[in-house]
Amino acid sequence: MRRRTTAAVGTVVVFLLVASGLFATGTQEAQPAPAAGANPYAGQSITVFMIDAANWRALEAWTPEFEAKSGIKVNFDILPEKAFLPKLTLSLSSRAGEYDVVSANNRSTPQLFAGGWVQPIGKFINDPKMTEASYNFADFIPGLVRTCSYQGEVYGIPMQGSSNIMMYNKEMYAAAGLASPPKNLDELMAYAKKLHMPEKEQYGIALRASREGGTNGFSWIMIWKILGGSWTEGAEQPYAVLDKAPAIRATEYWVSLLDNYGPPGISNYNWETVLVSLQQAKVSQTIDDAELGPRLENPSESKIAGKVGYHVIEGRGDKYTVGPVWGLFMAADTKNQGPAWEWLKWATSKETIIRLAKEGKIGGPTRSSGFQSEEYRNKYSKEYADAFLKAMDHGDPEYSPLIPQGPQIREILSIAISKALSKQATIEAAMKEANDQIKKLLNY
Amino acid sequence: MYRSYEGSDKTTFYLMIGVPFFLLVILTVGPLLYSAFYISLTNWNLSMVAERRFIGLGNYAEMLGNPEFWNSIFNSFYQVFGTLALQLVIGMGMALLLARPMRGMQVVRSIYLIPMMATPVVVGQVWRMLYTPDLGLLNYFLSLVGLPGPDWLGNPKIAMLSVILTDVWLTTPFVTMILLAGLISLPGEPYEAARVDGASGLQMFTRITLPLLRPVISLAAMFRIMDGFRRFDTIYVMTSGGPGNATETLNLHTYNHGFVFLNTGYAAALSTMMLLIIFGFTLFLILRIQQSESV
Amino acid sequence: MKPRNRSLISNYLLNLVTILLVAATLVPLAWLVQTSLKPRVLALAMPPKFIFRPTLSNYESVFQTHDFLKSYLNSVIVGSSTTLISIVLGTACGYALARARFRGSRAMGIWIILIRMAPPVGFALPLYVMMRALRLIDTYTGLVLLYLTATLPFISWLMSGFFKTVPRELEEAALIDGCTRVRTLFSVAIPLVLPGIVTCAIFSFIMSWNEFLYALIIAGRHTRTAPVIIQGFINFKGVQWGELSAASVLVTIPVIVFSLLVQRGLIRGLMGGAMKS
Repeated sequence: MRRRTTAAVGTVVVFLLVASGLFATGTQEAQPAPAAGANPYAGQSITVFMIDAANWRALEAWTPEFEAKSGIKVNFDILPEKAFLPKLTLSLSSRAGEYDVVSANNRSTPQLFAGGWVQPIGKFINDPKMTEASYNFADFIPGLVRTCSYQGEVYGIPMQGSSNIMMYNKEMYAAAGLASPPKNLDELMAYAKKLHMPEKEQYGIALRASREGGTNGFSWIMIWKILGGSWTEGAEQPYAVLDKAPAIRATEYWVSLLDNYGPPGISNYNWETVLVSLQQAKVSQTIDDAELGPRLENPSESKIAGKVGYHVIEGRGDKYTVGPVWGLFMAADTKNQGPAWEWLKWATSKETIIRLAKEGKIGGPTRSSGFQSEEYRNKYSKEYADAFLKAMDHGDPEYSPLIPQGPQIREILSIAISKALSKQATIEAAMKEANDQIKKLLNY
Repeated sequence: MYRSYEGSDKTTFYLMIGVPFFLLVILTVGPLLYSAFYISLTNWNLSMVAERRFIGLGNYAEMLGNPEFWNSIFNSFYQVFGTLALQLVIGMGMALLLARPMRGMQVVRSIYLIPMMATPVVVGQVWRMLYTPDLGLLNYFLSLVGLPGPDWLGNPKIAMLSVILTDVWLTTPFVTMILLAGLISLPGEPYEAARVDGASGLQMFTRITLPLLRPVISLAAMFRIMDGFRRFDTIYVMTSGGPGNATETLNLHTYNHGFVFLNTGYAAALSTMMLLIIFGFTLFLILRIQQSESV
Repeated sequence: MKPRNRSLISNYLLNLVTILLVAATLVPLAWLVQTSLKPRVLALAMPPKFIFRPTLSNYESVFQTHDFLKSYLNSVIVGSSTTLISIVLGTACGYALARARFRGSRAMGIWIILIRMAPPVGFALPLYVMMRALRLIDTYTGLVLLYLTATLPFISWLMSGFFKTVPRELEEAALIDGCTRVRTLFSVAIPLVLPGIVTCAIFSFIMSWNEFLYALIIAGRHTRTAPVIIQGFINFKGVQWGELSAASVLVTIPVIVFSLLVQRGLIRGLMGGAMKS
């Protein structure tokens, strides 16, 4: 009898031990001491956290070349936008050292800077022992570098600068008798009306309108900026500007445009849906991130490759387009600065950036040499390059509130215009309510 | 001789209950109290840690004055009780059908249970696909009978109904099973007597079945209310609380504030409020049930 | 003659209706399986093609997605560990709840139910802060501990119900013979409730497998479970219907299979629970 109990207890204990043995997973792998020589960091490993998009996936795919050369193991954690944004701030704020390098855009950087979760990289750039002259940091477009900087210090390396342009289906334009792209928003509305033929399953325009991830705010801001909107310029209460004329006008325009000339189900459109609707020649035009261009020109997925027109609708003032910048940043708590910097240099080198542009992974290289390279000129039409450069030139990096409460303000905006579009509230009421919330948020 | 074992018995029992209980207390009560009595009384924001300070009931005051909060309360109640009403009716119907003697009833019953077990996230995805306006199955079937297919998840007036429908699909089997158990254990005599008296099927149902089943129905309702307030996965996957905030229940509202905006303090206050509401409600229900049973 | 015919017909009709209704509830899942077997081009075809040549290409693609495979393994690891611990602790706890005669035990039982009531979001926040402080983020230990808060109360409650069906006399005989309480539990009570234990084990596994919120918040690169990863099939390339359906099928199949295995015990458990309360 005794033996049976002991056996039973013993089995249970063994099971528990086995199960608990599976628990012993730390978040950081052990680091052997760096060896001297050509590959000083061989054998070490870093972890990179990126959002799921074509260019970052390309980096992931090409990294084995880097690993072979340097002996550094690179682990990737990649998440789609909806899961990426909360995880970025959650992980960095916990200071657990989960990630060494992260991708982030100017929507998140204010939080990163304010929280002290990323570190300035000037000390690496300016140290000749860590950075060879051929890397040439000055090559990066200054405006983009400014967006990745804070209080005069450079924190990140811009990897993907973009802006919004108009993209339209030249064939559908010609069929409707439209010779040239619209010069302003009123013409855009008139064009949309002319191109809207639901009986043929062709629709006037598509813009991002989905509430998920606050993506509708992005397209709304594009319209708003053309109408002269700004979060801070000339505002007595910065950021609480949603009840002012440009914002109200923008919402009226945005709602009217989509309501009358958008495809069915427009309220769920995110940028993938917009892209596909254009590729399938279901919708004739859009204003969106110029990065959509390469995808529209890709014959393997787009029916309208080669028939796309590019144009910038000018707005008031100097900064009338959005200027989102995606960059790579080094976490403040990383213990692997050396290997992380090595990878950063490789990922943002002239060769890699040009390769990304050549293979259509990014439409706008962040290095001047990229734009001037032969590969780029051969790949993209002059019309596209001109429109892109013009848009980037007038890009406002603060198209999204660059303060820690930024994401929340974007969310408030997103809900308001979503309500306006779905007629849950009148435009005035929705915008006023949103503005009141922002005031409260900022303690005005 | 038996009595002398009482002593060691007690220790054993204390250990057996104590160990898991201790674990649960640390992992549930502990965090709950920490959240309610500390975090919710600060203005803690995970991204602005330096400014953390004690603000007493400030979060609660702000919450009660915030229309978004009341909207999420309304949505939660709408979702829970909307689902409950449909489930009780459909569940009762299915229970009546499944209580009949039929060949292969075992198999039929086990097949019926399947939706209950499916992973809620997967269920959310499936229904999201079904609800797609121009490419989804639902609107296709509607078009076959000549009806226009609405934008199930994009139209704020019916988005919540769509969410409720998915929930009903997911959890009605549970309600059915409980009601079925009750049905099967009903005594036969009242029905014999009623048949002799010439009562119709409907009369027997309303005058005998329903009253006798009241405790079982209350039990099912209680379980479903408890579970209903916890519903997160399906809504998160299908609408994330949209369009606007038409489907933003208290659960999602708290998640957004806590994990997206990182307003830890405010979110803790929201959670505490949510727990108070649910506990209060369920307690109220339990007392009502006990009262009616003792009558 | 007439009434008999009518009741026969109505009998058939009701049987038919029952079968149709139950079959109808399976339509969404059936459609999911069907979509997973369609080549990508057909997946979104409208009007939908119900007859086509099935292909396993989506499954191939999913099996080549390393993230997904790893997450599947994580789900298995976390599910098994949680089940093991739940059964060990839950059986003991359930036994004590069924047999102990001191005042506290009833209160503890109610307490356990109360814990089940609270929505996970309410706990998620302080638990996240706690886990962060204990450095248990992105570890299996952390996940299992959280999952236990859901499974332990339920298993304890179920097991106590099962143990109550074991006649006290059998145990008392063993006790009088000189066995300790623990020995009695192992040699007398447990063998009698073995089917109940199996039911609870499967239940616990299903609950862990389906868990999403805690995994979303606590799991990281190493420990992300399957329900979280399938969201990844909605990415910058758009919604990949084919892979999403295939992955969804792979995620749901284990729990459906397990639930079919346990349906008899489940029904009895549910009904028993209903009667007891």
